Formats: sequence, structure tokens, C-alpha cells
Amino acid sequence: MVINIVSFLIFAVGFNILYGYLGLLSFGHMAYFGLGAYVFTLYLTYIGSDVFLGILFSLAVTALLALIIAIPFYKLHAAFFALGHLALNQILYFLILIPLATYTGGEDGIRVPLEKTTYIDFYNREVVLYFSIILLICLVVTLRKMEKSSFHSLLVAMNENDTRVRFMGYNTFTVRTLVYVISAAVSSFAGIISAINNAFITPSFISPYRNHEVIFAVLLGGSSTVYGAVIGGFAYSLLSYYIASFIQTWEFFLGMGLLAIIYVLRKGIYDLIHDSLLKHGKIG
Amino acid sequence: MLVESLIPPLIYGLTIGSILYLVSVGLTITFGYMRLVNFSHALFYAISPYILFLLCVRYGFNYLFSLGVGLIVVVILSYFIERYALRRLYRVRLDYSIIASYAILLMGIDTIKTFFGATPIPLSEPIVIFIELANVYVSLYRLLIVAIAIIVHISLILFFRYSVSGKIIVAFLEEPELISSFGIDTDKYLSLIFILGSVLAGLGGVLYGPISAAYPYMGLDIIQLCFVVVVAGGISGLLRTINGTLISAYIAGMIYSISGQVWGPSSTISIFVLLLIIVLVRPQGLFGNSRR
Repeated sequence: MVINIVSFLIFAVGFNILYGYLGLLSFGHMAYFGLGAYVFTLYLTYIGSDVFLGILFSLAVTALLALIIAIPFYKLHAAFFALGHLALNQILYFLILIPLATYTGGEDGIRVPLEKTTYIDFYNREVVLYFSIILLICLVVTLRKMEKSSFHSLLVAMNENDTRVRFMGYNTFTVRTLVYVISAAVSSFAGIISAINNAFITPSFISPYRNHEVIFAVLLGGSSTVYGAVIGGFAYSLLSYYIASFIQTWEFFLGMGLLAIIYVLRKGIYDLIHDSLLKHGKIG
Repeated sequence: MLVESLIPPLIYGLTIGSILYLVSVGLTITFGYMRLVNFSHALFYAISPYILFLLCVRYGFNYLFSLGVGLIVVVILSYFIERYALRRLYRVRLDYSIIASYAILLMGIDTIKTFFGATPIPLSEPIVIFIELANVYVSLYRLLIVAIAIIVHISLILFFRYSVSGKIIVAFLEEPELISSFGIDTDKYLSLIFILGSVLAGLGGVLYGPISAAYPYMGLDIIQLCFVVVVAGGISGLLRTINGTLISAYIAGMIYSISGQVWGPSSTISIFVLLLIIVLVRPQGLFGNSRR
């Protein structure tokens, strides 16, 4: 449970790298989450036995695919960007569900053979927990450093007006591609952790019908900073876990919550707290 | 022999294309001119077959009466959704509208699940007459669907070209500020066009319901295909856009039907491949111009 939340937080952070900094809404980021999980599992099942090599291999494959996708998607208008990702996600979901079913187990899913790695026991919950939490902290610290740097200002400027930044002599294409690839890689890392934790993966790991979860989480927390993504992901995980166990029709309330965010709370929890602290002079 | 094997997929493709057209027209207008990716459109598509089921099957009312009630419910629902939720999202950041309309869709799907359950409900075709066409029996109902789509298309074209309201809408979508500066209440016409699109989506849902079944996620499944149709058709002047939507709906329908014939599971996915190709090769769509 806790590890699943951490994995979701990493996913939210990865999604937010793209959406929060550059304002690019991908309606199919589950594709990268699921791809990470599947490539990792397939590597362990058919190719190698080392978990860490598997992680590296999986990240490399995802990054490569993201690079291939990012180049033609560069100039797309926001709507086409979102819908293009939805199409990509649908296609990958379909590939795993039916044509590759002999390798991926199709609808039944596939077991993650973690026992092949002998020197570290990934069936042990605590090992996985520490591993994922350390990873999340590293990620947050790095991104927090980045948010204080001039690179972040560049990203904000690109979000505001890409043409003008290009006119100033920056190669926005490279920057955008880089950010996209990083976002995809972090998302796939979340998928890998989730695969390690559950030791079993099914097509629901890449299901295009789950894309709204991460979007909701990031909006809930506030998309402008990495803290927002973490807080939002945490709040969403708790909400979905507890509400779903109380009320059966919890998607209804999820929808209402989303609407409330869009109309009332556009900035998200983190920014709200941050602003009110700023107003009362608690922080500089 | 060859003709006999070709007719069923052809008819099926035309049927699917007609349904896609009916659902996509409203989407095209909100997407093309209001800059709104309207997922809640799928709700209107899903709700009318359920009302048809409730009145016609469970309480034994007349088929046409139930259909009418279903469409009236769609009118009321779409009026309120447009008026109170989506109107303030026109022409603002696109991701807000995507998320808000998706949220409305989620709420709608959950409401349907609460009242009718998640299991698909089969509906029987209202007309069970088959006519013989080159030694193949073809369902009259499916031909009727195609005819309805064509009639709707022609009346839309006539409405936009010759009626005063239609002309105002065309002008408004091209130059919103100019029309409102004439003192015309543009919000009224926005509502009108939104409701018109929603009713056509509802009609599509009612007509398609008997061919497959009514299930809560039916709207979400078809709306993705409809976005493909909209993107494939492209956006330009209103009449050209509607014509483009018609053609691309039939192209998508034929691809759906033929690929399904070749290999069953591939029918939906081939349409997404089409979307990916169009987005990459010709982002403005087959009949769109790159200005928009």
C-alpha cells in the first residue's frame, strides 16, 4: 500500500515535469508508466537476471521511444498533443493485450520473476520501500534545485511564449525534447517500482482509462512545483483509498472534486498554503 | 461471389460511419470554434439509449415516444451543462476544458452505473425486416440509420445556408466580436448550437444502442473515435467542416469495418493508427486549413 503510494508519487512527479513546467497536457502518460513495467518484466523473464540491469534497460527503451515520439509531436497544438498521446496509449495497450499476448500473458498478466536476482531480496517489503523512498527523495531534491535555477525560468518562459524564447536564441526544440524524455523516463521508473512491489503485472498497468488519476492528483496539489505534485499525489492516493472503501460510486465524487478544482481552486493545495503563508509574513 | 462477401462489411462500415458522423458533428463545432475538447459529449450519447431502455423495454411505452423523451432529456441536460459548466471555459486554456468535461463524463458514467448497473443491457432492433440485396440479406434498420445520417446532414447544410439563425451561427463562429457588436445575443446561439450537437449525439446513441448494447462506458469508447473523425476532418469554414466531418466519418467507419473483417480485435485500434498518422502527417486534417 505505502509502496504503491510512493510509486504513484513518482509517477505524479514525472507527469508534472511535462505538465507543470511546460504546460503540455499528455492524455496518455500511462503509456510510459506501463511500458516501464512491461519492458522491465519482459527483460527479467526472457533476457537477463539482474534487476538493476533490467531497470536500466527498461529506462533506455522508454527514453528511446519518448525521443522518437517527441520529435514529431514537437509542433502539435495542445489538443492534438493530448489526443495523440491518447492514441499512442491505446495502441500500446492493444499491443500488449492481444498481439504480444504470448509474451505478456495478455489479459491474465505476467509474474515478475524477481527471484533471479540473488544478491538483493526484492520480495522483502522493506527493501523495496526504502529503495523507492530514497528514489523519490532524490528526485524531489533534484527537481527542487532545478526550480531555483535559471533553467526553470527558461521552462516557464517557454510555457508562456515559445516563439519569443526561440527568438532570443534558445533552442527550444532540444529543451522540450529533453524535458519530455526525462518526464517519460521518470514515469516509467514509477511503473517499474510498481511492478517490483506487486510482483505481478496486468494490462491495467497501461490502461488508457486510468489517465485521469495522475492529472487529478497533480491538479489537486498544484502543478507549478514538485511539492505540489507530491502533495497532490499523496492526497489523491489517500482519498481514492478511503473514499472508495466507504462509497461505491466514488467516481462521482472524483468528478465533482475535479470540477471544484477547475472552477474554484485552480492553483492547488500547495500554492494555496504557500500564498497564505507568504501573505501572513511567515516565509520570505 | 465477390459482391456477396463485400456487401456486409460495406453496410456495416456505412452504419458505423453514420453513427460516427451524428456524434462528431457537435464535437467538431465545439472543438473547432470554441477551442473546447468536450468529453462530456459522450454523456449525451450514452444517456439516451438508457432512457430508451427504461421507457420502452421496462415500462412498455412506444419506441418513438421513448426516443423523443430521451432526446428531450438530452436537451435539458446539455443546456444546463453548457450554461453552467462549460461556457466559462470557452477559449481559455485547453487543458482546463479537457479536465472539466472529463470530470462531468465521470460523474455521468457513475450515475448511470448507480441506476442501471455496470453490466451491458441488450436492446432489440425496433425494425426486424431484412431485404435481399444481391443474394445477401441486409437489415433494413441499418440502411435506415444511413438514411437518417444523410437526411440530418442535408438539413444541417440547408439550416446553416438558408435560415436566419443558421446564418447568424456561421457568422458568429467566424467573427464572434463583430456579431456581438451588432447587439445580437450570442450566448443564445451558442446554447442552440451546443444543444443541437448534443441531440444529434443522443440520436446516434439511440440508433447504435440496438446494434451493440447499452453499457456505461459506451460514450467513452465512441468519443475517442469521434475525436479521430474530428481531427481527420479538420477545421475550416463551417459548411466545409461539416462536409469534411461527413467524409472522414465514413472513411473511419469503413476502416473500422474492413479491419474488423480482416482481424477482429484490430477494428478500434486501426482507427487510432489513423489518428496518429494524420496528426503526424497532416495536423490540420484532410479538409482543414492550417490557419486555425
